[in-house]
Amino acid sequence: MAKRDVNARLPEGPGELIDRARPVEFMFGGRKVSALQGDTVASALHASGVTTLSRGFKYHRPRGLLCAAGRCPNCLVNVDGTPNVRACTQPVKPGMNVRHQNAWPTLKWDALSVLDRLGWLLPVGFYYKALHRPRLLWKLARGVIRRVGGLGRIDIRDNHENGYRHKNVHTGVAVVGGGPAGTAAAIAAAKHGAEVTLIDDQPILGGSLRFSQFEPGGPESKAAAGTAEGLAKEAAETPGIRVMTGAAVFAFYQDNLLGVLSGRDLVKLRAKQVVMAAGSFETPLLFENNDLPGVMLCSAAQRLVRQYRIRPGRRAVLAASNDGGYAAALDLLAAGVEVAAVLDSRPGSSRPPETTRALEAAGVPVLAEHVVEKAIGRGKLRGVTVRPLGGREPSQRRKFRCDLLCTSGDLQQADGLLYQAGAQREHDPESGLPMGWKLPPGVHAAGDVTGPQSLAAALLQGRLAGLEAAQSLGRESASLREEIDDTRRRLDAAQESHDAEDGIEYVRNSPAGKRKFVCFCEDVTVKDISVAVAEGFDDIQLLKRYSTATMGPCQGKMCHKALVGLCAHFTNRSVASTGATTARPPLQPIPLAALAGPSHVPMKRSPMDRIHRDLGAVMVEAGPWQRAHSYGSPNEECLAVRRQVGMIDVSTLGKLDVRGSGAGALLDRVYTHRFSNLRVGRIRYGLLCSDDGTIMDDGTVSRLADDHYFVTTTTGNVDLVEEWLKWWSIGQDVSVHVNNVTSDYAAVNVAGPYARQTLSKLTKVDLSPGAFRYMRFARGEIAGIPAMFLRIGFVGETGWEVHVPAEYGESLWEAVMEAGSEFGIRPFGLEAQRVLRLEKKHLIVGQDTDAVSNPLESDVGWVVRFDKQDFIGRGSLRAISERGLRNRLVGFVMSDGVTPYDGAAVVSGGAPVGRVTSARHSPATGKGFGLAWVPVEMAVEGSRIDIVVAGKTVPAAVTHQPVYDPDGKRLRE
Amino acid sequence: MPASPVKKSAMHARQLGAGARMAGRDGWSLPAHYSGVEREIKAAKESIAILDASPMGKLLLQGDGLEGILSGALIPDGPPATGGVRRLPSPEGGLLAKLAADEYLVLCNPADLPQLTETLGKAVQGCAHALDRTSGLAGLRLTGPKSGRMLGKLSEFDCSPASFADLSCAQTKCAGIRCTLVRNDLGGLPSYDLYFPREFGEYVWDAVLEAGEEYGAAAAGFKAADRLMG
Amino acid sequence: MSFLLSCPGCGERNVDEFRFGGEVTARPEPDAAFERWAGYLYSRKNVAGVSREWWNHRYGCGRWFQALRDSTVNQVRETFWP
Repeated sequence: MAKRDVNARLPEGPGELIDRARPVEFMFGGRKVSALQGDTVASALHASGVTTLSRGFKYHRPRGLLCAAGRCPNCLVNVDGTPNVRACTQPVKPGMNVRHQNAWPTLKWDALSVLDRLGWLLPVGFYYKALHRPRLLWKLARGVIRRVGGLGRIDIRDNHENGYRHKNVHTGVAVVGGGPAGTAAAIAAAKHGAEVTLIDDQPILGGSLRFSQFEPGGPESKAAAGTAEGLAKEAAETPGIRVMTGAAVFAFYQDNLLGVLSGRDLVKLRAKQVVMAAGSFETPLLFENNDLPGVMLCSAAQRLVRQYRIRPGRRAVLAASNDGGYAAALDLLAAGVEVAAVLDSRPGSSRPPETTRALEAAGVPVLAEHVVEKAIGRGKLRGVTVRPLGGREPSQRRKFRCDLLCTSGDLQQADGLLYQAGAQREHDPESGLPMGWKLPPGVHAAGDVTGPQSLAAALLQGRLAGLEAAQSLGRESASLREEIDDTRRRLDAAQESHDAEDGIEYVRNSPAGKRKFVCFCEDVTVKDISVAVAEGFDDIQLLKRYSTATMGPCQGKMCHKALVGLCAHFTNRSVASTGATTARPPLQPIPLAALAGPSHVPMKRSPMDRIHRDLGAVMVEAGPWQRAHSYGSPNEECLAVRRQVGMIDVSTLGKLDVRGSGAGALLDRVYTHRFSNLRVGRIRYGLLCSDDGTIMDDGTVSRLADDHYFVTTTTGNVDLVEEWLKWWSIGQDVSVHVNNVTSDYAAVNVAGPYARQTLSKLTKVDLSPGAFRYMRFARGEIAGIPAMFLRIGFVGETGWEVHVPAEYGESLWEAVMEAGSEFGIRPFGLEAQRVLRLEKKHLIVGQDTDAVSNPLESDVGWVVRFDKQDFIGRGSLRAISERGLRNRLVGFVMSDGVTPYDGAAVVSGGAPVGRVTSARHSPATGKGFGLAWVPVEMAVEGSRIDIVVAGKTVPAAVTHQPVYDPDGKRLRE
Repeated sequence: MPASPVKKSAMHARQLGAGARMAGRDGWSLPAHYSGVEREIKAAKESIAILDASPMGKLLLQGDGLEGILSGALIPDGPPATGGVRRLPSPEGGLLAKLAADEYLVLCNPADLPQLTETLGKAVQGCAHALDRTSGLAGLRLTGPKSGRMLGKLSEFDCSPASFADLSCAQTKCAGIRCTLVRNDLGGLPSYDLYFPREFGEYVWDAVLEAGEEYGAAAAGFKAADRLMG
Repeated sequence: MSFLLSCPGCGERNVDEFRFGGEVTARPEPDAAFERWAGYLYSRKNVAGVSREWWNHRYGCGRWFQALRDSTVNQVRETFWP
């Protein structure tokens, strides 16, 4: 397989990236490949004679190296399990395992290449118009298409760490593109004190100077590598420049945020100023079999020669619609490649005279006004036929034997980021030809991205952009102004005036033929485009979507210009009026894993979390919190609370510290109840509505001092309530401060017949029934820890909520457990609490109420004080009470032992009329019971409702009384 | 009844898991050191040392007219501008960070908190008040030359030296949660304090240690911190 | 969504530090007609142009402020305390 003699390395040359002293071996398709440190996978494969790297998307034709710069889809491979890696930018690493994609059984013998012969079955948009009848056919076809389509396979068994990191970087000036213009911009800006980040997708700075030795317009060496070396050295030595090479800028987001993928780092680069200097790139020419391995862009051949010192072929033909082909021919000659011919497809005599002379002196025929008609060969290039522009006679056709065809269609400006930044291309109003760019503030552009130019002009443009960026940063000085003026003057002198062209001559001039690929990613041919236009998809945006051209991995880099050109050509419009497709992020395919980044979900843990884990509690997520669901047996935990004493961790309760002379007035305004008249040391239940009268939250409000309240909220709503209180306190004359102190307190609820005895062992606070009554508050010490005691009764027993500074959480828990052991204390979890509170018919906001529940219908109307002049929700609640209630939340008890699920339907006459919100089995009565929403006419004590349980309707009786301790004696004892 | 209750930071369990040797200090059970004090000091000098700053006294001052109150005897050269931090005069020392026009955060050694609370609490009567947030805010101190870069992995806030110099503060999103960030360099080493709601302790610990891994960051105990402040 | 928003207290921050609080509206008097209440609760102007909005610096100082934002280009013109 290997023909090492063909692709043996050339002698050492300036600017080569390989380290000849460091050989590297890796696997490709089960075969060992030797490479050198500094090689890419593609260059190493080329050096060992592998020219077919992948198979086409649709027709499975063999594909070889095309751009060698990480833009086209031709070299996508699987590297160590990661699909769709570009072989031409992936550096070789010892032992890496590279596999081909999209071919079976082997890359060389791909069974699906039969599709190339059956192309007539697959016209553009075939899945829209074929295989739909009979209907069964589409079902079958869909299965096949899904299996065959797509690119690359993710190994779902490979559950490795995603390995991508996210980094936020801020910079004064971001320069995109490390070619001559970009590097000059970075140096100029940094010299004036700006903090600069210079980004390039290639491994070294220098841009085209790193592979193209000759100025296209003339044969004289511009000592390109020397210039690049000098620029890179200066950039490295100028303080304030951070260089990122091998990094792809894949998106420009609002306010100068650049998305950059650099290895495994996804960098979010926020820049104050951005200089766009991404340059331009070559695009393929259109002719029959233009995808044959051996046909590559001129720049690809040049990169192989200069950067990896590989001779890309023995005998080459070069075809271009610009001066690039001439420069590449000189590079190939210098590398010892025989050049059979250089073709220039431009009409008129636009050959650069000096280069032409140099080539002719070397015996190379230069054919003006000639185009390639067809590439010949099966799986590998063997020759080309060429002919003059417009020449249709067979006698005018000439044939050249060659194993390398370098092509260069017109240059495509790398302007995707400029479009994303909101820049607009300006066109000459008369000719419709492109002129310059209208740039948004904070964005500058320099170099070839603004249009083709000489090296001298690009350097000056870059410098000017860098200086202006520094100036926009406020680095104003006389010398800076002077330098800007001077650079401008020199730039005006250096810029040659080009005759504006629309840049699609090469499209118009392409000869007829089959299999002329426009889009290599999606295998779209010129014929497909003409058919699509004829079918009416003549708007560029529609044409793109229908043909899928520009929608593949290259994202239009190889084909956008040709697509626009063809669209203009087939519809007889100008390029300007044809428009362009939208360049959305990402410009470059980015792994979803890179966008996802490391995954840490902010998780909240109570101060006693470790203890719950040590006790073997079943932990559940309650919003962001980790809470103990139970410690083994919710039933026994319930019984312990009812008969002895239990303790639950309630640290997760939201807690707000509200203070200031306006605190009482704020709570009166926001809660439905009244709190300005609450006496110090007392507690009241509070319910919070939004202005549409729906319930937002509930909790308790304790008055600690005249101007100081301690408010609890439900676990999940504290942020919402905090923001809500702050919002409603805006514009009040009186002072009020709301602080979220949830984190500050560890809290437990100790409840049960022996709660008083348990706690009394630990505190001097008098907990006796007469001294510490229900809904009262006191401060004191517990187990030597400063604490707040709130006597409340969510679970319906005598009990206290004890709040202590959070860092004492474990000490508090351990002290209470020890003190209660003689009374049989047990910790209880959320599930037991849910049963206990349900027995008391205490609702849980969000469980028993939803986004449209109001307090009047939720059976908590007793806390709505219409006698207050105003409170949030009053207007709507007034309207509801005038309209009359429609549904009500009621208690129910099942007629027998079955218990419905939460959410079960309440039915009447076969139709659903309500739903169960909470239901449990009562250990005391042996019956199912719970809360349900029912129509108001059914909400009568003792009336029968039907609930669906396991597909059957089971009767239940409505009750307004709690099933446990209806008079509330226990919790007041 | 236990002899005396122990204060534990929110990251206590994680620290034990990381091999911390715990010891008592200011009533807190804290890591004295992990694998070795020298290694921890080296991390601070060459990379990043990660210290638990939860015990720091954290007193929030809120209200109108604080500017005038603080300018007097308390801060001779006046309070800092918003986003700035000023050192409090001895003997207690500590830092005064101005979070907003009417809000300051006082940071001090745990032992000095009662005295400062009393002094400041008395001074700010009226429209202002002091709220002790020591229990609610967990803290991590990231000390070392690479600490700023590491913060860039956790926050989009610009903490580059040019925009967030020594003795600066900000309230911002860090590791996906709300944090107060205070820069207070330690013996010439960049040092950032991160204060955040205590319930996120273990989560932040995990996120910070993972972010620091590529830089060679190491958890450090108070022995290393003492030496660094030396 | 990557744009920057300036909290009047804390300065310029990434928008994901903030919570959007909707259009600035005027709450009717307590005893206003139900129609006015309904308009306040359920109707929004949703202008294509400069809109006055509530924002909360949720991950920063936690305070509410207002912004004038041009909804057609998503550009914040001005931010200020209410």
